[in-house]
Amino acid sequence: MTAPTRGQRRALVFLLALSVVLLTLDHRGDAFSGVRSVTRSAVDPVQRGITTLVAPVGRFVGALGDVGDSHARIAELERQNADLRRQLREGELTASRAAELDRLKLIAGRGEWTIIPATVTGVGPSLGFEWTVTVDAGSRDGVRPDLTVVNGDGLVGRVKQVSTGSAVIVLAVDPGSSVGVRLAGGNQLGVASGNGLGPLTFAPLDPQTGVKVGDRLVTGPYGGSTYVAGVPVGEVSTVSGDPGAPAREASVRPYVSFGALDLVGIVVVSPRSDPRDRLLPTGAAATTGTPTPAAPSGTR
Amino acid sequence: MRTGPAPAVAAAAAVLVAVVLQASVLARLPLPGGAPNLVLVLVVAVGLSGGASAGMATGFAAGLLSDVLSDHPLGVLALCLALTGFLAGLLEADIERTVLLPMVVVAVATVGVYLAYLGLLGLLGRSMAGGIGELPGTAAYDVVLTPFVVPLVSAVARRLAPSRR
Repeated sequence: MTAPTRGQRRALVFLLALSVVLLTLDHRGDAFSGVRSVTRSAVDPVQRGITTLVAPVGRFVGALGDVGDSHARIAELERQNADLRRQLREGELTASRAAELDRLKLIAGRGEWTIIPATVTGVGPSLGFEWTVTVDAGSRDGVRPDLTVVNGDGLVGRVKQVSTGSAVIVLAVDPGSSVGVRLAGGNQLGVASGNGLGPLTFAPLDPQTGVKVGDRLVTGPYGGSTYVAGVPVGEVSTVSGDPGAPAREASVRPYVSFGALDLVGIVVVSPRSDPRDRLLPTGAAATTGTPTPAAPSGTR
Repeated sequence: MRTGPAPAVAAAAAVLVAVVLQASVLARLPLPGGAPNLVLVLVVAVGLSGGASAGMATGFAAGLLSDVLSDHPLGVLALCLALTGFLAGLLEADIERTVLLPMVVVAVATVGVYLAYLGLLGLLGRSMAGGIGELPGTAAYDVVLTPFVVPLVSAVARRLAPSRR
């Protein structure tokens, strides 16, 4: 152990005090949004470059997982064979991206939205508790704070900060996020809040609302919601309390797989009319009040 | 840090690279149970090889840059990491003796910083309790990073400031 000198101790106290001052200023109001925006613009090109550089590495790591599964066969595989498989894999990746874009276009067309497609370039650089992602579209593409973000499956989140070439998106599973939702096939409103990795929690506004497993949720017009109406959110997977009694809370399995976000769409223009339930995955049964037979909830 | 600007420049470059790498690569790796935190390991390494002053300056800078690039109030990570760098710096004299010490320090620092971070956000009214499940995994990954980062940082530090040792 080395004992700190007096100067060092003073410097530490100064830095800690400075942090606390910054923290207080920033917590009270958004005092540093300019600084954030400028820094982000400066770091963006670097981040984009790195993302391009390491994309093949990420694919390689992904491929390693596959190899591990069929461990017994590895000895037989020749290098050339592995090479071919890698090429095939990259081809599939391109194809799956194209399919993803198609699905995004489909949902945007059905909702009559104008969207800006964007690719996820990074997740929040903090310690990993905030459920945010950075995408490569920013103010010069027309992105503004509070816009709704979707992908082909449904609601992803909303835009939080914007700089010239990038935007930070708070995901719907962020523990601080709550989304005004409506039960499909009816007008019961409620709030779906994020819990990090786990399912969303749905709390109906009216405690007498009967919530059943398999009920589906779309974003609804509630509480000055910044979200576009009618975006599919998820499906009720478990309901707390007795089966007969009205439910207080329900768990909702989101349609979007938040661990594997790649292509998203930012809704810049939406029609005034609510698309109601027609964006839900199996649209036909959505307009009836009775829930469809609960789909097996094992797929995640 | 008294031997001219070279160590400070090197530290600044390392901080920049580490924060950007953390955001665009490490945090996105498809690893189970958490993600390594290169920034934290770097701060500990600088503290261990450069002393308390270098540690807290690097920690503050790295924390502030991470804060600016993320969504929580500015200063949270700056505070946590400045303290981490300072405390790691107090162990400076002991680093030569063992290879295990840096690993232990990194593990303890990861746990400490995570808890402090959660606590601060809790004080600000943002409950992030869900994130605590990632703590063991992250600590383990950080310990794995340590034998790569610490010798590198300490070699660079010795090269740039030979008069210190």
